[in-house]
Amino acid sequence: MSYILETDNLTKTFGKKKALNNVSIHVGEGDIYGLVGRNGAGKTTLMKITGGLAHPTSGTYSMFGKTGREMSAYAKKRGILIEDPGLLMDCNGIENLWLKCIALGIKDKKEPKKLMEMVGLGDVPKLKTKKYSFGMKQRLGLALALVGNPELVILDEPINGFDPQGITSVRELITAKQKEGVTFIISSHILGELSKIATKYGFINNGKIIEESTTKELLDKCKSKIELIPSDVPKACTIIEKIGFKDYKVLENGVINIYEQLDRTGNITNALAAESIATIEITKKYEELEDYYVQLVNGKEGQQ
Amino acid sequence: MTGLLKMEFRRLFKSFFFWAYPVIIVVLLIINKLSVNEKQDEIALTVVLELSTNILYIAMIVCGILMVSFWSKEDKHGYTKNILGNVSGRHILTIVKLITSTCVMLFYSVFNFIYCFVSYKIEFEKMVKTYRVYLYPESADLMPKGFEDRWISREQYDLETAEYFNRTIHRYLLMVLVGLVIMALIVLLYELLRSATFAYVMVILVSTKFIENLVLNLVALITDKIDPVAQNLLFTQFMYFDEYASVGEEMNPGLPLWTFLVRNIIYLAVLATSAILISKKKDSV
Repeated sequence: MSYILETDNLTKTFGKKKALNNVSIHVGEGDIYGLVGRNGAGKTTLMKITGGLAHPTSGTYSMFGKTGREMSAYAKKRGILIEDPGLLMDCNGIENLWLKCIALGIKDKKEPKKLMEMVGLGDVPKLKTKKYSFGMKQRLGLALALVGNPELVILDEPINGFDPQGITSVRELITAKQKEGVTFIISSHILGELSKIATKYGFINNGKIIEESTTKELLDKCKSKIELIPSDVPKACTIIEKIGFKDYKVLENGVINIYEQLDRTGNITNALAAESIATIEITKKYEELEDYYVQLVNGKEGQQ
Repeated sequence: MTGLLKMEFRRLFKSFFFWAYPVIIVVLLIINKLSVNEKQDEIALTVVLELSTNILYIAMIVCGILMVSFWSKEDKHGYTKNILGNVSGRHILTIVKLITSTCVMLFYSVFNFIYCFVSYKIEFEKMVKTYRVYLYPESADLMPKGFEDRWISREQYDLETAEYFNRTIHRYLLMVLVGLVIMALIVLLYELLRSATFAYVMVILVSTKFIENLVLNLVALITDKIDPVAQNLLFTQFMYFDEYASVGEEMNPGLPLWTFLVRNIIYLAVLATSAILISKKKDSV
């Protein structure tokens, strides 16, 4: 399978500290790749390298299937917003965008206005960016990343400082762009928001990718469920099917995960008791991306 | 890269600081024109010519400070990052820096040239037309007592002045080349340390010959000679260009023009290449 962006054992060291340690990620075309990790995990370093701002100490990466000098020709297809939005404070929003248009050889003078409207800044085209609020700066940074209709957009904490309405509009914007075929790599601390749009995740901790999975795989692992441990697993399966449960999974350790009708735990225990099957344990689990990440990190750290 | 150059020039042209120097030069030129009176003589003309190279030091300082403030502003606000995501490497930005600073230096040099040489030409013509020639009267008898042997004819004076004028233009052009070398040096230092403060200090220390004087004094202290080093330094090399200039008791030979040209082009190439290579190796942020 070919990827829009693929890293192969990327390592980055700062002095003795390894910021990235053999990181390999695989971002497919049209993916919204959520990069999840706590502060100092290596997210920004990885984004800087893939965004062309830093060199890896070792390892390689390819973009649009190209590496090295060949890849350089595709740099214009990449848009980035890493750390701060990077604005010229003595210019207004339109000027900031127009200057980038000039740098990229875009001649359509309507482009900055379109982008300003796209990110919800259409009503302040002439306001100097030094007078912008933090959220407005982030929006303009996002617009700058979208100049030239890039096919790959790398966004580091793009919704930091946004109000709830702003978060929704950014989410909608990203989703709309994805439908046009744009691929995103997004890091965010607001995992709840990330989980609403991401199609694939890379979990990073201490400079290592500890897990990479698609949203479907992740949902299987962490969606809300009833965890049931019966005395007789095969018989219990027949009974729960009989009372209307279809979406369930039997794990190797004798646990049955049921992913629907979570309010019917009482019905399950009653039905099992009627057939003389003991319910050793039954619990409702509401696991979100954040919980999953914490468990994952704790598990890996425990192993180390 | 063309787009990046366009962007940089657009930003430069919109900056107030960029126009400050040319405006000051034009204002000076206007004042100069308005204040011209009958007292104009050869000494005043020579002063105007001497000014031509001296004023370039100021242009170098202004250009250096303008460019460093420009780059550091971009870096500080992170605008460079936005652009870097879309270019094939950081060295492209360094090449853009080299080209823009070269253009600004040349632009300021043109203003200096207009200021000095145009005004000289006009004053010279006025002086000849009005015969306000004090140092070289029509015969040797009219020379001040004791200075009769220094008398030269009007034709001889014109000839010598034309030669001096010609040499001063060559010197001026070489100084412009040195200005470009200094801009390349500043780009290199900025890329190396990414410190605007350091770059500002270096602009001033280099353009005011402080560093060269320091080197010369150290060399003199150690070897008791300055020639081998002085001949190759950016500003001091000009002592060897002008055959009438002297260092201590020694008269200088007046080296051929091409040696200065070649030497400075080598400096420019080495410094610019080093800046590009360093930026290629370094991370942007």
